[in-house]
Amino acid sequence: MHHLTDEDLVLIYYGESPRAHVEECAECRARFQQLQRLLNSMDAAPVPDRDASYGARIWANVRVVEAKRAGRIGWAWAGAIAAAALFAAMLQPKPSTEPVAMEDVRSRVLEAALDSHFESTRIALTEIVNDDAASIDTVDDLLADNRLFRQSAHAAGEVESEQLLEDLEEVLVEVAHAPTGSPELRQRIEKKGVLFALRVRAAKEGSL
Amino acid sequence: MAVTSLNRGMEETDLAAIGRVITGDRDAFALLVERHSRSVFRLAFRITGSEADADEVVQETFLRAFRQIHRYESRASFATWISTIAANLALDTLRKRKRWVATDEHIDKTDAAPGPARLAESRRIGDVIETAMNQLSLQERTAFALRHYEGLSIEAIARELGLSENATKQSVFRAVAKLRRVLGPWVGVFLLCII
Repeated sequence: MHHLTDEDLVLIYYGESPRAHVEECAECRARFQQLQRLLNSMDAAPVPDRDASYGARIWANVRVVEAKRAGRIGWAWAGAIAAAALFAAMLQPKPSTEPVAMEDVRSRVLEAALDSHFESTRIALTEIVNDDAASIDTVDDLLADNRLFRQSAHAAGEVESEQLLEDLEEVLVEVAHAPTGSPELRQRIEKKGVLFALRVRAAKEGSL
Repeated sequence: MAVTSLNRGMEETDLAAIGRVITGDRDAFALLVERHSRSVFRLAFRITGSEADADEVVQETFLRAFRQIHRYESRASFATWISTIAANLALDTLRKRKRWVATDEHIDKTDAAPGPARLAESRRIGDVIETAMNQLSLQERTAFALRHYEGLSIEAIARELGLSENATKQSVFRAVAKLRRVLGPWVGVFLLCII
């Protein structure tokens, strides 16, 4: 008597092949039941769950990223990338048969924008640490930019930048919510070591 | 029957929400995120095996779906569409992290099944199943998760992952064979635990 292959049984299990033969043949039925037990057991693997507010949090993040993309940052970056592409094209000594390396241009522009962001953040945090009465009006903008840069760094696989941006984000969130001149805040900024990390980075890039 | 009509009702309200988003009511997308984010998380976790990676995949999946909502075609349900975006992103995440570097051929040529001593160390069901899943190549893991957990047909998986139907079938078959090799001795124990 003809018997089913293991592959046939898998297709039957998933409803992609008729099961008539399994009903009629005791040998194939026994093998099918074994396969059923195996595949049913895969459902026993515990999977962590997320709470009921998970969707709301995801949607809030999507909105923030999209709003920024569609608004100020989107236009500013598009302009900066276009300007850099133009600049790069002007630097070409003669027409080249090589395609313009837009990715390189984009990468350099993003790097320059990131350096500028780190410098602005370093200045703002230094003011807070050194001056009891310092009030940083731009902290919300810094925080929003920081989130975008962090996502870009993540997408680009820039682990070092991403880590620094993550640490900065934590600090900027605290700054955004803490009262002006809070000594605890100053201590936390110092303890977190972000100012030191920013100085090291700036020194490496030659901007200090 | 009740489940089928519930699913159909859900698909209809998904379609209504998609229609609202396309015509300018961007906040209607919130309904789709609310409804599907937790199941997308579970799928992403099953493929990546990491909560942090799964969270990132969910975030990126809905961002991408929001940007490409006009490309959605109602030939598949929104749940299927979003699942395949998530599966592809989860695959990309694993490739980037190079967590799974072995190719199908490499795995097939070597005896990748852990020995009884190693399995005995991880008696918890989750650990054992995770050990088994880690024997699968990226393609096998994704195809299997979409077939087994998401209930997508071989044809749909092939289309969404850009594979031939035969390659997709073979991925699922190889996945089951590898799972059988590792999990075979444990199936009885699992069933006792489930009961």
